[in-house]
Parts: sequence; structure tokens; C-alpha cells
Amino acid sequence: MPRRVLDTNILINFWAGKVVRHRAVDITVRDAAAWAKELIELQGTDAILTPIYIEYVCGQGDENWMKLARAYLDEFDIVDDGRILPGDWKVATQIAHRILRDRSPRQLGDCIIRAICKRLHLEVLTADRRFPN
Amino acid sequence: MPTVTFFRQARRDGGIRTGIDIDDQTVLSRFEGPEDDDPTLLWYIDVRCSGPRLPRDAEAARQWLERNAKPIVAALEALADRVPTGLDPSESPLKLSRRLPNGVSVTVACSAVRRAEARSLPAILRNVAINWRERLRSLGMTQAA
Repeated sequence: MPRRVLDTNILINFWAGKVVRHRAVDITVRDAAAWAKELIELQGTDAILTPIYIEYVCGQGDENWMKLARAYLDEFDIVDDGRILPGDWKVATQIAHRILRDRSPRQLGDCIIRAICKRLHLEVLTADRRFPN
Repeated sequence: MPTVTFFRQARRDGGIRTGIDIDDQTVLSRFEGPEDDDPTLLWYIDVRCSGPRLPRDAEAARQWLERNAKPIVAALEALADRVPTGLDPSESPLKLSRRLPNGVSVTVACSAVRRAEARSLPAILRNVAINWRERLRSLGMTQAA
């Protein structure tokens, strides 16, 4: 296993920092792949999880952005191999049942990401302060 | 290019994982504190080594990192001295790179997600430097998940 996984918001924030300096029509799949490699080099890991992949592509609003998103994500390694086990859903449900100190709602993606991390003994690098705890 | 990485990282639940990766696969590791309550990271430190003749097995990697302790510890201490007082956690990881006489490139990287931990990064880096050999020797073989 790798040493840490990158959460969706880390992928999005890095992408947003790159895109802001370009016109959308000028961005190529080669740019997308190069930016992914840059992020991997920066954070020292190429690991993501299936829910992170899905969350990321869910945010794409047209076919061009989807094409770029797929080129970006293709550089990362989905370390759960697309396998979300019954036990993961059970742990995710337990996490979802917990009321947070600030009473904020839990997100499905965060709950299942945390459950997979628990099974695979992984840490997740996230900018999300609402990750359930 | 083959890589060997020493890492130490702290979770929000208080757990700390230390380990050695070869080509991004953890081969030696140690976990301290409570496990699997909250896997989100507060900070991490990496010593990322890349070069053509790096060791390919766990024990050899540990011994290589011990043999090269002097320049690696110096790099950790140098990065500790360079952490800005008001480091913004949203900034990219801080890095310092050195090339060893044997042609291996060593990059020390550190990152924190909150201001409180960002302020502690110099002390965390110095702690890793001071305890370099002990940390390496405390690692055990990693079981496949």
C-alpha cells in the first residue's frame, strides 16, 4: 500500500490553481496529465480511492471538462482496485450514524472513504475540515 | 528511477505512522497511538530518495538510510531552519533537495493542514532528525492488506 491517499478536494484545489491561469479552450489532455504528475510529485503519492474518482468526475459539467478530468485522473492509482466490500459499507454506516460536535451533516463520500482507509490502514490528505470525526 | 522514501505522518486521532516505501509501496512501518478512528492527516514529513542504485528490499533500504544518516539529518535540520514563522498551511509542501556524492537525489518534504501543526513543523523535523536511527530501527515488516 502507498503511504497516503489524496482526497477529492486536494485534486480539485490543485486543478483549480492551474486552470485559473489558462483559457479553457487552450487546456489539453496533455496539460491535464502533466498537472496530475506535478501534484503527485508535490505530495509524494499517486494514490486515490474509487469514491474520490467518482466524486471528481461527478463535478464535470460538459464533455470537454470530462475528457480533461479523465486524463487528469488517469495518472492516479486507485488503490482499492474498485473493490468496496460489505464491511466498508457497514463501517461507513456507523460513521454516518455519529452526530458531529457541530451537528453538521455527514457526506456519503467522506464516510465510505474513511471506511476504506480503515480497512487498508491508510491516511488521507484532505483540506476538508468537515471530514467526519 | 527507483525510489526509497522514509515517511512519518500524524493523524487527527493522534496516531502516527512511520515507514519506508520502495517505489511507493510500504515495506517497513510502525504505528503509534490510537488506530483507525480518524485517518485524516495533520502533518507529514517525507525523505524522498531517488537514484539508479538504491536498494530494492526492505532491510537493505533501512541500512542504506542508516548509512546515509549524516546528509539526511543535515537536510532535515536545514529544512527546519527554513520553515517560515507564519507558514500558511494551504501552501504547497515545503521542500529541500540535496544530491549525495553517490548520485542519489534526496528531497525532504513537509506539510501541515492547520496553522497549529504548521507552527510545529520545525520541532517535528528536528525530532525526526535527532531520532533518525532509532526511528529506522523501530520499523517492522509491513503485512499486505
